[in-house]
Amino acid sequence: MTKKSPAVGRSKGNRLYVEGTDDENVVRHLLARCEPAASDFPEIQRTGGKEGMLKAMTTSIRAGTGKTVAFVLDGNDDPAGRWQAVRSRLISVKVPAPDVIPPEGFVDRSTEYRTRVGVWLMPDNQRPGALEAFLHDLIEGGLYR
Amino acid sequence: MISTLTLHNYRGFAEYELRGLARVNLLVGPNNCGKTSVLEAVELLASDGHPAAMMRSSRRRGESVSHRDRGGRTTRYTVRHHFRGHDAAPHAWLSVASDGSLGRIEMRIRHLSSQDPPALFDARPPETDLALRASQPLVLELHRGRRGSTRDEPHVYPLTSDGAIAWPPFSRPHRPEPFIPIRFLTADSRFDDELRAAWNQVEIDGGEDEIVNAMRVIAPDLRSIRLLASGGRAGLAGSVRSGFALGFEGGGGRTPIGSHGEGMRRLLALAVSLTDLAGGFLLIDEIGTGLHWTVMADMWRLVIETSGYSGTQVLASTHSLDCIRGLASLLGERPDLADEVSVHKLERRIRRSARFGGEEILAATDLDIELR
Repeated sequence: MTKKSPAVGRSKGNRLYVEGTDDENVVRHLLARCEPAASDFPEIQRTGGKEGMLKAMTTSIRAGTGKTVAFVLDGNDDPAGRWQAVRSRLISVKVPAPDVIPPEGFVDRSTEYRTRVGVWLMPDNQRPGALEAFLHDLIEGGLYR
Repeated sequence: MISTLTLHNYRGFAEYELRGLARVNLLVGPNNCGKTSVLEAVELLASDGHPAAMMRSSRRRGESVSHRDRGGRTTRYTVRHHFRGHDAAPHAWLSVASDGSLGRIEMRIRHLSSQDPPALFDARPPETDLALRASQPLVLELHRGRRGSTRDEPHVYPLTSDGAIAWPPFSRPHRPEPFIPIRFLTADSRFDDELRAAWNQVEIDGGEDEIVNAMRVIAPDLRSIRLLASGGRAGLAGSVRSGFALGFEGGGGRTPIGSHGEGMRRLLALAVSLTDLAGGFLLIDEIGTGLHWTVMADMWRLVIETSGYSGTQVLASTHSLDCIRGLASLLGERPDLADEVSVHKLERRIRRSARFGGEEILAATDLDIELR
């Protein structure tokens, strides 16, 4: 039986922001493997790059009371610097972000706006790189063997 | 102009704050989040806590007590709905405060006491309920604190024991100081006497052409607007007995505004109010009512530009995505207006509105972020 494609837009308003089209396709298909209920499947929104991602961050958290917003972005050459840019925006909307992103990714809640927030830096929240390295790791790790 | 508004125990709010109010402000949020209550709080504050403002609000919401005393001269309005939890028991209180020229008001319910002036005992509304006649009388104590004001003593209004105030009041109402022009436009844009009077002032000032120009956003062939007194021939198709009548290019008689779409009434009410309330406040419930999405950006241009000229501060509510997109569309074309507007999202679960300035309104629209 063919699986139905996820019903984007039927979610409870939870949102996952990614940088570009490739990221969207990868994340959408990986999420679909988890077979979430349609209502649990987040709306996936492209931001067109890092600047758009940072812009989306504060606005979506302040507008997202009672919902979950998450961000998947590339660490590129300087994951620590990228996290600091993210962290300053999270703190500005009262999300208690630590100095260093946890290796499993960051999940917490804005104490003021009561929005649940998740951030993951590709490939593994620590090393330099991008989503492509994350996929490479999945293959090396045997997920698709 | 005010930039912050703080509410305590006002209607559904225990404690709530809006910061960073701009010249033009759009209130958004889910049903029952308190958008209309915020507009009413500004109305009450700008009216210096005058009971007439409470009564207008109660009348709009259908909260009035329709009882009329013998002789039919007074109507009673219960004040308890203005207090959080609909509680107007002794010691109930509410306050509305701002940072700007409006200052603050505080209202307290208490028992009439022997310290009160004897005239207040005489001014009590007669109790209609026999059981309540025996209970201790209540009063509404109003404290006002406008900047530069020298008032120290509160003004006290007698209440019935079930928390109703009579209008006209049984005691002399206070005089708002200074008087600040204010108007509350409901979603149906009814042309009440106040708006007719405002139009008369527009005519005296020679501002009809500006209003006609503004209305051409939705009716490009509009030629003239007239406010007719009664006396025209009745019963003829297209005749106008009284009220606003519109004339169009290409001749023909004027037709009543009621014959046209809701958008015409809405835009006329907005345009007239914005020119009439110089230095005051225009409060608008559901600002986009009756307007097609294609004219939203033009509506916002009218509101922002005209309020800038007249010095009117605008607070409006909406549930309409088109209304927000129209605002973003205008800001995309006119980035110079970005500092003149803010969107405030209200949520009962948090104590402060989430404020979005011009750039964030644009970003939210670009990224399809739900502000409502």
